[in-house]
Amino acid sequence: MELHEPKPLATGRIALLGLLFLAGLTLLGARLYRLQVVQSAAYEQRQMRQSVRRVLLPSPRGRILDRHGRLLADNQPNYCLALYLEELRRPGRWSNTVNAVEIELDRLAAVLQLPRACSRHRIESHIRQSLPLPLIAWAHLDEPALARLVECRTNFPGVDVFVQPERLYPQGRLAAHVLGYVGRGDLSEAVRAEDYHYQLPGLKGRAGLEKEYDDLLCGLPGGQLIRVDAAGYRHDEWTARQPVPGHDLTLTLDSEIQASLENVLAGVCGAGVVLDPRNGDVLAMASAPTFDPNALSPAPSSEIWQALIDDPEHPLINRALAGCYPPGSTFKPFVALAALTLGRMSSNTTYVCDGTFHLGNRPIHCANGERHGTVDMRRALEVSCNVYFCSLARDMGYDAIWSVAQQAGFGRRTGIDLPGETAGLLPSTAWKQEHKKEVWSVGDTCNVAIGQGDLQVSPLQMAVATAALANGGKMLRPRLLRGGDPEGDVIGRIGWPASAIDLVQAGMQDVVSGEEGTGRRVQIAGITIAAKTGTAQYRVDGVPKKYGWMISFAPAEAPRVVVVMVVEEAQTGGLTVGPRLQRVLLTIFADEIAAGGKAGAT
Amino acid sequence: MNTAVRSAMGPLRRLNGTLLTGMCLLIAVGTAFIYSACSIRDGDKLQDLYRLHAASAVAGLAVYLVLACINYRTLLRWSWILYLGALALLAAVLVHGTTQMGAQRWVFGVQPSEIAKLAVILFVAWFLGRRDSDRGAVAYVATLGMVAVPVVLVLQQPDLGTALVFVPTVLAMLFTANVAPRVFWLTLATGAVVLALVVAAIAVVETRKLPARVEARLRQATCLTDYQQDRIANFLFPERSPHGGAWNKRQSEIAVGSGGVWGKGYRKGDQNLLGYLPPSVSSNDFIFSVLAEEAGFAGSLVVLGLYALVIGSVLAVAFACPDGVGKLLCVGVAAMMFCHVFVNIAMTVGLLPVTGLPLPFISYGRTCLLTMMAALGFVQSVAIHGRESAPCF
Repeated sequence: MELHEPKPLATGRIALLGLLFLAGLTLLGARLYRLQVVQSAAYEQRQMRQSVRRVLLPSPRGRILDRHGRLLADNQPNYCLALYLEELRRPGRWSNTVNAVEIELDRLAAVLQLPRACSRHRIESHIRQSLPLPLIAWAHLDEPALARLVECRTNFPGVDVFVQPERLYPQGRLAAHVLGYVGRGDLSEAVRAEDYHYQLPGLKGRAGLEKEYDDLLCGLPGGQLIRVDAAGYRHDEWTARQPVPGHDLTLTLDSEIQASLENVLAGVCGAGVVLDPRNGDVLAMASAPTFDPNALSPAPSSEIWQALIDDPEHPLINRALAGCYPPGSTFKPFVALAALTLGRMSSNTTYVCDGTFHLGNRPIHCANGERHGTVDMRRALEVSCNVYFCSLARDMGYDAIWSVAQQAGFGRRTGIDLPGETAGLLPSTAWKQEHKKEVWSVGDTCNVAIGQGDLQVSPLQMAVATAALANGGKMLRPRLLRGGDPEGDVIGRIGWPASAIDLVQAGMQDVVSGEEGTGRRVQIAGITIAAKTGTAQYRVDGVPKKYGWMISFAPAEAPRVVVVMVVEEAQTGGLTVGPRLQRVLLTIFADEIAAGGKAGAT
Repeated sequence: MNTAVRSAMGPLRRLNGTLLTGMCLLIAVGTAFIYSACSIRDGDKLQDLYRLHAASAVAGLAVYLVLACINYRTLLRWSWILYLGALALLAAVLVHGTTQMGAQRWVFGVQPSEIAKLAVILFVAWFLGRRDSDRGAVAYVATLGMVAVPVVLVLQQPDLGTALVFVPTVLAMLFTANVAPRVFWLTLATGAVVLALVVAAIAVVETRKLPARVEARLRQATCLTDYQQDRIANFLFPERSPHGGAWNKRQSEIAVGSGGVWGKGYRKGDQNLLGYLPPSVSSNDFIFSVLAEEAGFAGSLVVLGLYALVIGSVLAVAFACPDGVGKLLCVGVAAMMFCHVFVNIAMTVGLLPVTGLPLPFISYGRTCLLTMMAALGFVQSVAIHGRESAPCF
């Protein structure tokens, strides 16, 4: 019968099925080969990426001390309450976790008796961006709050106290412009710099020495690897690199002199620099008005920041090195030097002063309409005779003045180890041709000779030039770090003849001690002081104003300090700056004065 | 007495050793990797799954040997009882079943859908394999009807993966029995077209911005539940929800790929130990990911080889068996095992959408293990008894 034929169940069909199954298994094998052999490295990387996270550990920032070891910048622990979100993670959607965190925060707020300071938005963005890092829910916890937290620690899993290093300037505003301030490092910067997925943003110098020596101060942040599982739990933690603390900086600053300088500048706009002319050590540098770096570190509130930015007096600018001022008569000693060295003029050259120097239709007057009569160079310095210096400049020409000013460092940066320095402006004939499309005139020469015109200097430049004058022609790079070459960082030695220097120094001593000296208010019994006053005119919205200047060094026989000061909206250099400079010098020579006083008494 | 034992043991001397060895090796591998997959689970009960697996294997071995000793011809005469029993259990699931992970699959501690697979194979083998069986269009339709009932019941749970095993298994049996060839190919072609249409509909819904009404219509037309559509969409577009439904698929691929050629070492798989492979699935549906991560490409190939060996042996038994019932029984078992292996591993390596199908002998799941061992017991019976008497059907 046909029905009983074995034909329908042909074994060939079973073989066919067998081949089909074999093909299926081979397909699987091929796919496995692709995943596990060909693309294995890529999958291994993906696996590492999702389970191993690297965290940057901040290094303690180096401290900053003054020359006597007084702390100017320190670190203090900021006790923060941190939530380790991975331990609070809830299954399912992330919003479940956010809800859980919010409940936890509310409970914590009740225990700490503090208002909640962390919004839902912050929790969400923290989860997205930096899950393995602790979420700082409260910062700056005080002792009572810490104590309350410790009492019920066990009720709050995933909550811990996290210590964040924070910058503290124990002296407050002292030397704010020199020290600068720090900010929280940019997260993305470090991520780009190193192959770290997440990092704890460290402190980064934003201004002043904090910025200049950031590399030295910040040390080397450590690295930590954290292995997390799919639930976000930490499994292993191992420190791949211990953080290396930053270097401490000892400065050349003397905080007593610094404080004194800042005191005399309080309430005005201006700047002052105290330099050691023997080696270029900056003993003090101040700019007024100033600011409190503690308010800016690590992150100022937007109101404080906006107020500082909008302030018309620009308290954040360090006028000592970024301020450009016409030097006024304080430039005259360098004109005198130019006359004696390159100008082939004699110190015995005399001019007759009738109170006015006539040049074309623009007369230049001596201060207060005084007529000095016949004056020589030394007396001209003492009384600051404009007629004398204009005549002298006219007769010797501008090249000599320009060369000596250039030797003294005007028109270029001093190279101090602080950011933001200005080069000032020492106009040349070529400069005027290029920028003003005008030929240099004798009037320009006379204007520069009395420190007006286009000449612009910073107080620091003035201090360095005065130091060269005081130390016999040694050009120094001003420095703030202690422990350098005791001879100073010498940029060059200017071949000014000793006789010329002596004459200018004698004239500057007369400024303080002479009968008609313009700087008599600086006088201190027992200390010989050489100085030069200056008053430069400027206009603000058409209203004439004056910069009061004074440069000085003491003791005149063997100069140990150079003090330079400028005050905006002054009466004159001698009136406004003189008494202030005297107070600074009194602080500097306090020991000598005390010893002298005792010697006198006995 | 001695002779009685010997006569009882007699059949075992003709046992197909390859089949038994391959199966035992797979069970051993399974126990070892369930141990690895469960080591990070909380609680002793869950960590002891490997023991339950081994214990089930011992019980399964007893069932296996008993079935091997009994002539399948005797047993298959009563296959309709097993079939009806399985249907009753499937119905019971819908009424009394316990729900786990969104699907009702358990009743009285067993998964009836697993038993139903074997019952359908036995019943269809008996229905189509006998000498006097009708193999025309009527038989074809009747067979489809016999399969349709449990498939519909299983789909109610819902368990699409298991339902999808029935269809190719029975198709393989219909193909082997050469039942109504023209209708067979026609249905196959129709099925392929329907499948393509469903996938296309889901792809269109996913990629195009359609008006809400049109989208709802299209979704309805696929006859799939939302989550089934989701899974297929996840497969087609893996980047659509990296933390949602596609998570398992992505983590599984990372586990397999990062295993490399030689693997990370037993119980050293990061994906497994760190829980990126969710522990709830790593011991059953995704056990192969654990294995592939820890034993590498080499280990994966060994396991694939063992399956090829076992399935090949089953087909060899079918080849040698003189009667149609035995042949169809073996083909059905081979096809079912192949479907499980292929769908499961293909899902693990991202070739197919995620479906909850266990890997035979390796995945944890007692009903599945017992059913698979029983199925091989029947095959063993065919191997032992196939040639001992004249075909009686």
